[in-house]
Amino acid sequence: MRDKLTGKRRPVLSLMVLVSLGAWSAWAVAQDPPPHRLFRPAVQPPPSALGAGVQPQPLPQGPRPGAPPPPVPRPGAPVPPVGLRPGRPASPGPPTPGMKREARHEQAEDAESEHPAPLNWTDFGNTTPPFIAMLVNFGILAAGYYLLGKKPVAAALQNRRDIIAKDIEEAHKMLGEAQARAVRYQGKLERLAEDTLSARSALAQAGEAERDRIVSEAEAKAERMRKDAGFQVDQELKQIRQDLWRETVEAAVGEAEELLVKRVTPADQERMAEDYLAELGGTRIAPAGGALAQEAAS
Amino acid sequence: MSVSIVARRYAQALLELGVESATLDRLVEELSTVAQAWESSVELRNALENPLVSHAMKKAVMTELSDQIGATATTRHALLLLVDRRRTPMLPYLARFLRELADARKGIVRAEVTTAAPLSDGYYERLRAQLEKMTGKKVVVDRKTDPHLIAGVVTRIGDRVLDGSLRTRLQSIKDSLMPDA
Repeated sequence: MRDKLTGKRRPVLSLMVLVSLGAWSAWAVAQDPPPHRLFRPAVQPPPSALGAGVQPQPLPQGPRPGAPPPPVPRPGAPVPPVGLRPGRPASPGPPTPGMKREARHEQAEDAESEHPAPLNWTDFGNTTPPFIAMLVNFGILAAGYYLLGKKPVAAALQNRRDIIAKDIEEAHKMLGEAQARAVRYQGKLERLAEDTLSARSALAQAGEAERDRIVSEAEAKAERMRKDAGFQVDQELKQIRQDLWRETVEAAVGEAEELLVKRVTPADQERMAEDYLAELGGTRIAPAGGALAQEAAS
Repeated sequence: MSVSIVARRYAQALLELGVESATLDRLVEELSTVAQAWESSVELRNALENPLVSHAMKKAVMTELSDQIGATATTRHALLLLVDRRRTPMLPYLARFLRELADARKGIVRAEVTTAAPLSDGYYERLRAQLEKMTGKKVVVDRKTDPHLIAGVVTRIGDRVLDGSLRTRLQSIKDSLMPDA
């Protein structure tokens, strides 16, 4: 879209520039080539015509901005000396302060008595460009500005407007939030004393509950430790009792064995062998090596 | 494979060879002698189990041992086969299983009677008669002496042990007095 508009504007702008250049070229062609003002020979009045207190004025370099254009002399017409009033005798001798004041007074009267030159509307041959050409030029310039700057300026303004609207909206929102926060804080401030009291009581209750819990846990832990210690003591006592009993039995059996080894006689050996044989009388043994017997038989 | 299982198979094969050649008793005695030599002689075990000793040297040692006991050809071949198969450590098992198989074939039960002190032959005869009465088979008594028993008799028949030693009674008293019992 933007490229399309740019494509339309370029020919229009080119056409306007061409029209402007053509108009100015026409005016320039219509103009006689003026001599360069810097090298134009200044017409000096005879020294006799000059007053003693009048200083030669520099050649005008052009119209001053804001001042009406000076009257254009016709070609061939004598150029009057600037600042010199014709027909007025010049007083010889050095100028006095009274003569200077008089000269300035006369110049002011001349400026009031001069009439502005008529407007050059359509004459392209004049030294000044026609006023209609200036209007056309200005119109082209204004149209160029309008055509080229309408969209970007409108877009920039719209963008700026959107940004400002958004900023305003955000500012409104922040203002609302700040007001709500202020209201909330104000409410908190108003309830601060009450909240402090309630918090203090809640903390006190929590502390008491924590104290009770810690005390109960400590008591339970102490009870468990008492039980564990009692159980451990019982176990150790039992173990020590068993160890003592075992050592006693081992010592007793060891002593008995030593005594038997020392005191057993061949008669005791025979008596025990006979007892063994008597005990075997009531015993019956199943045939041993059943598997071996089967293997051997096979 | 377990050594006892392998020894049992070797013993079964030797039993059949001994029955065929009618030299079972001699085969049993020769193998028992070699097994006793194996268990009693550390030098013999080292010579036959050391991997640094060459195989030919091991066979030479076993041949020399067979010659010294006057072994039959079956016993000699069996011993050399054990050397070839690196089965010499199972010699005691082989001798025991072969004896058991031979006894079982002949209907004999071997009883190992251990006493703390030597007893009279009459006592052993009465004990053998009692054992034959208990088992219903012919019993052969092998006598052993172990002073560690203090007093009394211990008889082992197959996998049954009839313990009448004083040491065992002391151990029973000790076990009954122990708090863990």
